[in-house]
Amino acid sequence: MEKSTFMNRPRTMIVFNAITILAIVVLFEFLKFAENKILLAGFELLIVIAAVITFYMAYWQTGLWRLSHIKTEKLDEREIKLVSDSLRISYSVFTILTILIIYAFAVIEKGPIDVVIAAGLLYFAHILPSAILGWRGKNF
Amino acid sequence: MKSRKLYNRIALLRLERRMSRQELADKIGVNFQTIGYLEREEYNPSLDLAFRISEVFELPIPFIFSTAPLKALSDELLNREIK
Repeated sequence: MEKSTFMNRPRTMIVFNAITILAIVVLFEFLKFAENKILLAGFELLIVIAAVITFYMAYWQTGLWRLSHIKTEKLDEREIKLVSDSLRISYSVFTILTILIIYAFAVIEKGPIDVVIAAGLLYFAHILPSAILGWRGKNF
Repeated sequence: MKSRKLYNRIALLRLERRMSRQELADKIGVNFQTIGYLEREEYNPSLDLAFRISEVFELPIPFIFSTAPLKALSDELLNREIK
């Protein structure tokens, strides 16, 4: 049996992946005003690589991505219940988060959300059910 | 509505028949990890799944599942009360 370490705990990798996505979005905002764009763009590329690696470790390797994206006919009743619970929670979380972001942009009069935030939200919408499954620590 | 905990004899019956979790899972059409959840009584099966399990073991559902803690089979045979 594989020994559980800090790095192979699903929760740890889920948090790391969320941090990398947040870092990509924040760094992109800085990139707009930065003088040394090449240095920041290089740093952004490193974070994108880190995001891909943490995605692989958190969602692909653990089977979380497969579980939340597979057709329901291929799941048994317990798995369907797990996925449906995670979808229900992620729907609420995603709606609240999106509304908060849109409100924040309206309040600071920054105009519509930019493409990187939109892409981040799209990615977030896709991984959220898997993240909730992993966070709740169920076997899949 | 919160469902009641269901007690079962799946682990005992499976071991008695020298069946692996994977074999039982294949026979009733679920993931082998679901067998673990059922055996640990962490998941209540649907009526359909309960029927499938009873068909595999060729035993009536009330013998496999109960809403009260199940007596040991030796006690059941001798019709003794649980202490």
